[in-house]
Amino acid sequence: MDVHHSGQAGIGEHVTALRPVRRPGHGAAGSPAGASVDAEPMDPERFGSLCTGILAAIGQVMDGQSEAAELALTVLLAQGHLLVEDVPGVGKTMLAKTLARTIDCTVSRIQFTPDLLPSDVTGVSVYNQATRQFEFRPGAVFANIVIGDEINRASAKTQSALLECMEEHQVTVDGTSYALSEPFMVVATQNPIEMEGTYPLPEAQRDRFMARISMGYPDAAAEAEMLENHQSVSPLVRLEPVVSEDDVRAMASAVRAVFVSAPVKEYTVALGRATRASERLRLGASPRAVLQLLRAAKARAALSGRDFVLPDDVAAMAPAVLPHRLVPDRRAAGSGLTPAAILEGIVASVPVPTPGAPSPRRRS
Amino acid sequence: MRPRRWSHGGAELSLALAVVGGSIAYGGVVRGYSWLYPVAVVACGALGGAAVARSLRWHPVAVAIAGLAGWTAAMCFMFFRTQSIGGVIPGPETPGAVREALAQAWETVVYDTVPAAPNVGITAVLAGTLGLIALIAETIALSCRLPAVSGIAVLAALVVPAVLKPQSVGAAGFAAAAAGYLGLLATARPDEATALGGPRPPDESAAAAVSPGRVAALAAAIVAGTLVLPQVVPGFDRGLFPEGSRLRSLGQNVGLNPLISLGNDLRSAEGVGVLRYATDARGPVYLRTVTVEDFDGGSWGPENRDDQLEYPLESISARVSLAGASATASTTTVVATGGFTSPYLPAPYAPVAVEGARGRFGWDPQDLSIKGEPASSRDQFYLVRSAMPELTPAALATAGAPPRGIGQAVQSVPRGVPGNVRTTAETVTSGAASAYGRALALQGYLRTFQYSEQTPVEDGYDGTGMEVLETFLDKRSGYCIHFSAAMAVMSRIVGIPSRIAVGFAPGRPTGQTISVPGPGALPEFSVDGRDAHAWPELYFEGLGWVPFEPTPSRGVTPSYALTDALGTGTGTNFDDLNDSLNPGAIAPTPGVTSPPALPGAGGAGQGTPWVPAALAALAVLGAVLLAVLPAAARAAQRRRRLARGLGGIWEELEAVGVDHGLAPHPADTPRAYAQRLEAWEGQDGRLRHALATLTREYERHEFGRPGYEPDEDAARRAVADVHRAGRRAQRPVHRARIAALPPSSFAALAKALRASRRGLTRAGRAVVRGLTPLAPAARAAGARTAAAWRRLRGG
Repeated sequence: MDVHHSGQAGIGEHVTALRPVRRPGHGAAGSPAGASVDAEPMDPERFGSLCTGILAAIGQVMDGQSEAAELALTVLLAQGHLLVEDVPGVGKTMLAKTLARTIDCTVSRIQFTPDLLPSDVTGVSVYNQATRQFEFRPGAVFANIVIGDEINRASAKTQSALLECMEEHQVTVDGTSYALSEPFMVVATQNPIEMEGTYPLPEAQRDRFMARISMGYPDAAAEAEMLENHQSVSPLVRLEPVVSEDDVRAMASAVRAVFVSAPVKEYTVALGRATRASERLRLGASPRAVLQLLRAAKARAALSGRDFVLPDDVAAMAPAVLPHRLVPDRRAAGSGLTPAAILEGIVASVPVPTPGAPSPRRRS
Repeated sequence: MRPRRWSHGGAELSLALAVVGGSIAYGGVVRGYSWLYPVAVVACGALGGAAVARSLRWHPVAVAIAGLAGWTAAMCFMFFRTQSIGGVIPGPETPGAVREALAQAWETVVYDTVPAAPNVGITAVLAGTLGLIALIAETIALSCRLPAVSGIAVLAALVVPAVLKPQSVGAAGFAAAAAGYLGLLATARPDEATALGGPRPPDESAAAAVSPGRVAALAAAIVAGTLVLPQVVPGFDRGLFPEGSRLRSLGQNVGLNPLISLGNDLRSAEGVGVLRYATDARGPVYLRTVTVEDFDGGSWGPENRDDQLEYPLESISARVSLAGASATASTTTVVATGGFTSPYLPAPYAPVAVEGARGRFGWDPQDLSIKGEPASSRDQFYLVRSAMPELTPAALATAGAPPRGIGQAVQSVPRGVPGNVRTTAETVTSGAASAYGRALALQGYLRTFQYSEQTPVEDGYDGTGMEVLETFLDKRSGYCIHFSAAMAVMSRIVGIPSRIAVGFAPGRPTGQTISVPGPGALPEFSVDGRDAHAWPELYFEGLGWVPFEPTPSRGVTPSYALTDALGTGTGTNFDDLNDSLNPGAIAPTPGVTSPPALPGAGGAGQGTPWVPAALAALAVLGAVLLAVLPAAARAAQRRRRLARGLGGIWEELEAVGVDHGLAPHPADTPRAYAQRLEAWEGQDGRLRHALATLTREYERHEFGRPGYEPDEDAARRAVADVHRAGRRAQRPVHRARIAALPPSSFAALAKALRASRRGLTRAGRAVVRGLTPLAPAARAAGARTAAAWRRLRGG
């Protein structure tokens, strides 16, 4: 088992926790099935400056990965979970850790292995001799940001243990539900190259991740800069948190308050339906996918300093939010068409609502 | 931002090209091309004055005044240099010179034939008029911001050659005018400072708005002006110059442009203008107005011998010996000219006395034509006494030759007689011994030709001149001008003095009688435009001038000229419409065929001419409207859209994109589309700013929280900027095409039609199958169609 709880200054892979995770019973966040209190939405200026701060901080560590960083932040603010899929060594874990570091909140990291048990993730009830009672010892999932490394290496049973947490934001052990603290975000990484001894995430599980990103290699200049920055000590060490946990809650609340007009909703639904209607896809986007697409679009709008969603936001988030849920049909897969490419075609063909189009939603 | 200086320079140059280039079409209306240079100078002077004022950003009224100043200076410089101060500023002597030039122009217009001699007067009028037209076009295009409509002014400049020349405007003039006009469309950029009303609200400046109403009003005004102007401007309401014009069929007067307009008169659908006469001659008579003797030059016309006119009309005497005549036949004729307008009084040959003509008329001792100095034949009623020797074949056959006592002008064989004319003349007359025999041989030969008013036009030899004659002999087809000219020229070749008489063939009896003091009740005849005629007069010593009739199926062949008399018969050519009308007058002719239907011809001039003229005006108006319809529809769409708020403004942006080659894709988000439009970005970054404004306002309006008050004015300004950038990004030729035929107006139409068709197809299928309930399909189709039409209307 290889579970780490890390608070502030995680250096490298094995770092001792400097700050203990808040345990159930020690705070509101851990109380059984406690309702998360919605924070007051943040004013736009502060929202903007905080976002800029977070991205700048990530930029100090992650060279040439601003797009991935922005996407990660978007998913965080949209209260989704992120699947980072790429070859080893491009900074998947680093991105997750950096994002976690910029926020003054609890972080835990789970290295998924075939022998990892569900209770390692969720926690376990232990008999306390002194009190003569079972006492719940929370697992690694009780943190604001959970980094799940190489999630496809764990057994299906362990993976599905994580699923409930991701979807319900709560853990149920021995019939008792424990609410997870907000914000709660799972950043899972997986390696698409090494397939030996892996349990690929089933469709249902992939559907729970709001977005999947693939980091890609940094460009030459960024890579050179990275060599410079990482020569002596990792810049991650020097990184100070930029926002507090409360700030993140307020920011998420601001994202939820972003206005979505009827045409944009219509457009989002049209995109989802188009994936279902596509002949090249065996499995299209689920209603949950559509919902998450819109949430992601709201976060992107807020990140761009707007309080309303544009079709552009939806179209821009679609390549991150949808492809990992789509399954191409055999012919398309045989001809080498990836879901991303098919989706690109769909986005390029679904009409964007215009004021001229006859539609009941039209305002005067 | 201030528009660039000289931003209108291209437009001014294009206008100059349109007007000066279009004036090439006047070659053929005015002889030669010596007038082209003054026209160019005056047009450029006027446009140059306006251009300078525009570059100084003066008020539009000041621009027009500056243009007029340029025009005046150029006119002074070209035509009244010695009478002007410094050669360019009108001085105290200038008005006199102007009056003189106008008088000369008036005279040319009234008396001269087309093509007119390029004297100072006509050249000044032509240059001045075209200069003013250029200035008007400039004002319409730039001050009124209606570049497309200014084409009507250019068109107006082409109307005169179009109606005066049988071959119409001509390719060169039309091409130059069209090129200039397209150039204007491509380059005209409304200059806010020097346009009327100052800087306008951006929605209109974006549009350079051409509203259909405005266009219709302008087109109507111009057509009306074209029709009315000649009626009210003194000097142009009568005379020969505009009479050939088919527009003149509005009036009741028959222009008798001796040679050129005659073809037009003959071709007119119904006789125009009515002239009546009553005579005590044994039959109807030829009414002669003037003669043509000089056959040199490219185009023949009557000589101006005003200085030799003699008075009074009561004692006219031919200065020719009539010694060979055994007896004299006198006739009395009364003539009511009605609307017929000419400087000459029609009279049967040979007049001895004319009584009752109002105005100052003199008689020309050389050909006995009666000419007003100055007076016209309009609405005259007069009595003519004529006397002719009794002409018999015998007397003619013995007539002496060579003649004496007549001028060289009627004898000399013209220069440059084509070979086939000479050889034909000699071949045809080879067997004849006497002058009379030769004349009859020529007449008989020509009467075997085909009478046709159309062939010359179709083959391009309408008119007069030696080349025309050559072609005529070749085609063996033409009308009286060609027959009479051929006989006259060929007679001279074979040694008989000759001239061409111009006037009217006898016409038709009206069935009425006129009571004339003296002779008593006389039968009345009516003559109209279709009776316009020309015939040769040959001189026989001792008998004077003797008319012949070589034109088959026209006029009356005189008894002495009947070829049967000499046995050299030409068969059945006497299918003469006039011969058949008055069998008692002249020896009956065999083989009479039925004349062309003529009933009611006498009343033809009473009002029917309005119909073709009105139809022509309507057609012109329709054509003009049709030509500007796409642009006007586009402008109307634009206005409606811009007035409709931000949704409409964005639609307008998309239409601008469609027009200029960047149509929106259905899957384009507003932002993505704006980004594509940035391809038009020039140097100044203005476009990017405009697009950012538009996108921001539109997105906020369309996708933002309800209740947002968008800055529509800024958005309208931004659309104008985008439009400008789009235009600038095009090549000039495309710019012109887009201005004239905006693709977006067609795209909207096509969309509406498609939607209608789709809807109908679906509803139809539903009915046929009987499976789908009809109502929802039809309702949906209706909604789609209505929406598409709404979109088309921009409303």
